[in-house]
Amino acid sequence: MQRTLLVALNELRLMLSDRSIWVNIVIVPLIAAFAAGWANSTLSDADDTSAAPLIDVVDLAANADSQSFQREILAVQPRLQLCPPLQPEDDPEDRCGLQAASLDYDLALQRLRDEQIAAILTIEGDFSEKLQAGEPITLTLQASDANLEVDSIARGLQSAAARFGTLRLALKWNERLSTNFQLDAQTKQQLEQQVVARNQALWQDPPVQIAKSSSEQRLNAGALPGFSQSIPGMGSMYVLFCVLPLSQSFIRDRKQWTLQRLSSMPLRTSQIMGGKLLAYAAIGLLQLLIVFGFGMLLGLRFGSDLLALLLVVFSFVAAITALALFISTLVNTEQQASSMNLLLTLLLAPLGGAWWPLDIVPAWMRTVGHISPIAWAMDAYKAMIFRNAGLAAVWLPICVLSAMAIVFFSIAVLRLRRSQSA
Amino acid sequence: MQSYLLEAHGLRKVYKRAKAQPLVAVDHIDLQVRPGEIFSLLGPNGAGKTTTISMLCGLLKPSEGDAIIDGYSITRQPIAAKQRLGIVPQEIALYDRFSPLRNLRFFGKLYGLRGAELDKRIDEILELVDLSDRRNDPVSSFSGGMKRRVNIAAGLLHRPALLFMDEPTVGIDPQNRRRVLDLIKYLRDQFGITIFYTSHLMEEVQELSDRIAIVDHGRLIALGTLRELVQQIGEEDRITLQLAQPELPPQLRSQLLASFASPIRLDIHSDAEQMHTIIQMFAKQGRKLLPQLLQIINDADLEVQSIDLREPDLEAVFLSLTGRQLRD
Repeated sequence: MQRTLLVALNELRLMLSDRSIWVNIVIVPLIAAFAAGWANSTLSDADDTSAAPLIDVVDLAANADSQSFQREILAVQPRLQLCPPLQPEDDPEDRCGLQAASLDYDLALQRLRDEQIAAILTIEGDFSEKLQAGEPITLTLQASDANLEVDSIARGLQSAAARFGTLRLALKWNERLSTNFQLDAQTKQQLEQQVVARNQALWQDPPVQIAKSSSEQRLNAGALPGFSQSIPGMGSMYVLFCVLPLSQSFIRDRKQWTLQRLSSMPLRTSQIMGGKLLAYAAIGLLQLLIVFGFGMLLGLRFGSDLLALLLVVFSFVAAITALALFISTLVNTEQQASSMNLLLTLLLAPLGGAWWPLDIVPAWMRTVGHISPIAWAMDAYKAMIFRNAGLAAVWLPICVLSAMAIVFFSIAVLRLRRSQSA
Repeated sequence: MQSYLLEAHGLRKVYKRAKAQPLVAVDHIDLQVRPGEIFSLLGPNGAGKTTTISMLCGLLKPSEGDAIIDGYSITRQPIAAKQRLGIVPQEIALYDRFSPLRNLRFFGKLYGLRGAELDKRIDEILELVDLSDRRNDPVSSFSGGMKRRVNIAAGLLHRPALLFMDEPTVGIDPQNRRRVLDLIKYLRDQFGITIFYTSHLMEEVQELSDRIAIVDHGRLIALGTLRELVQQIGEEDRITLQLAQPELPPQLRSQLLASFASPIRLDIHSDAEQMHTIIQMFAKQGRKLLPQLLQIINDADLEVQSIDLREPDLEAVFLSLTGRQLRD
């Protein structure tokens, strides 16, 4: 064991003496993880941060009811910019750009065709009458087919219409009550104000609420959501980048005859191989430590079961190290090894969900993706990050990764023995 | 009482090939090396020297046969056998990003050396190879000759009973080559280290060796001291004449063959393309026959381009045994 450690230590010294390794295991992975995480976070927040869509409102009713309805729309969908604005302060930057022009349907249609606006909302002239009569009201929302936000806008308008309808219904009942109980005008007005105020209060703080929440937000409140994907994903991919070159190292050592020198010493082949494997596994662990540590600085948390995290990390690095040993039995030149390593990394990383979550790919691709050790590691990391999963929940990825390590290692040893006896 | 430090019995290495007959790289080699001698394995490139040395060091598993080093079988007790041997390979088997000190410290620890003893050995060995002042510089900054000396130091550090040196002077300048050859003799004379030396350079082998084994096509074709080997071919001088004549006149050829009959051997080779004829004569005390040979050539009015007279040497032995020159 002592000699195995000596070989491992020497190999580590050799790797770390090349200053470029720090670029490869620190700078590049951290930049990649940060950039990918930030980009993913920005995309997921796009609904909140992009410019508010402009909607031309062709208000043919042009009365208090139609204006009240527009206020309700803005209350429900504050992101929307209605044109023309109800008040000048509703559009301080004059995004509507109508200046003095009065908006009619033709102008609005032209603006839609010119892609100046996202949609046209037409409020018919009989809006108030139908509202008073309790008849169904149909509003027309017209948008270009290319506009991806039209469904979201329509849902917002629907929601506003529901709120507005509820208020009108309450006021109508108030009217009937006032008539039936012969209330005086002042009492009736007070009652109306109370109904409106109560209605608004209810919408502000409805009795039944659906809170938008997720375990990710609870566990990783401080981190941008994209880092939950990019930190484990990029970390895992860069483990491949720094461990797979083990196969090149065997060829290089054979070419430089340092491997033969070690073989001529009182050492077992298993001690030499073990030392080299240990060194590359250590570099793989260091790589994960660096990227995960960076993730933790950004607020990411890998659950609360440290043992589970360590077992996932060790079994993943073991699987990749054994894979590297297996590759070394397939290749004869450094060039072949380098090409094979690049190909495998660029295949296993996206397939295993290092670049994007496997949740967004079709089911068959998710299944195929699990030939990659990265997919199993990502399953475990995500369970820990999003659900605070412990060992009981991640035993399957750990077992699969350990099995992969054993299979690759066994095949590699068999192939090495066969090549030595040839 | 054990009389040999190394004994090889029936060593054979066969490489299987996909679409060809198996290649026999070494074919049943038997040899013994005595303690304290420089034993050389001489042969042309591709003769099987490196394969033989690789099997003796435990780098290659023999297809057949075994080697016993200081009483330990290299195939059955490899760890014990390897503890007793050192190797100076043809290649610079060092970590060139590291200094000699770091290289030697690592190799020394693998041989079980530690602490003050390891430091003392490193100091001694660097002194021996004259690199004490460069001990902390990276090997990559060294000249070819200096790298060779560190390579030798790495093989000597644990004071092996038997040191294998595989063409250790390949690719270095004459000055460094001289230094390496002197060092090898010094190791034998001062420390009594047994050296197993391989080379395709006859001059080196002649200068260094106590005993020589000649290999060709994987087979051991001769073994003995230089004198013994030369005696095998009858201590013949070799005279080589080159004539500016694309074809030797038949009359002259007949006259030469009649004048120098057995046991003198005469080879005549004409080369029309090169526009010359080479006459080689092998004879005991052949130098005394040279005037007669020149007289016949002169009488035929032919121009002599060059004359080469060689006393018996390993080149002649190899030529005599294989019909080819060592450098072919």
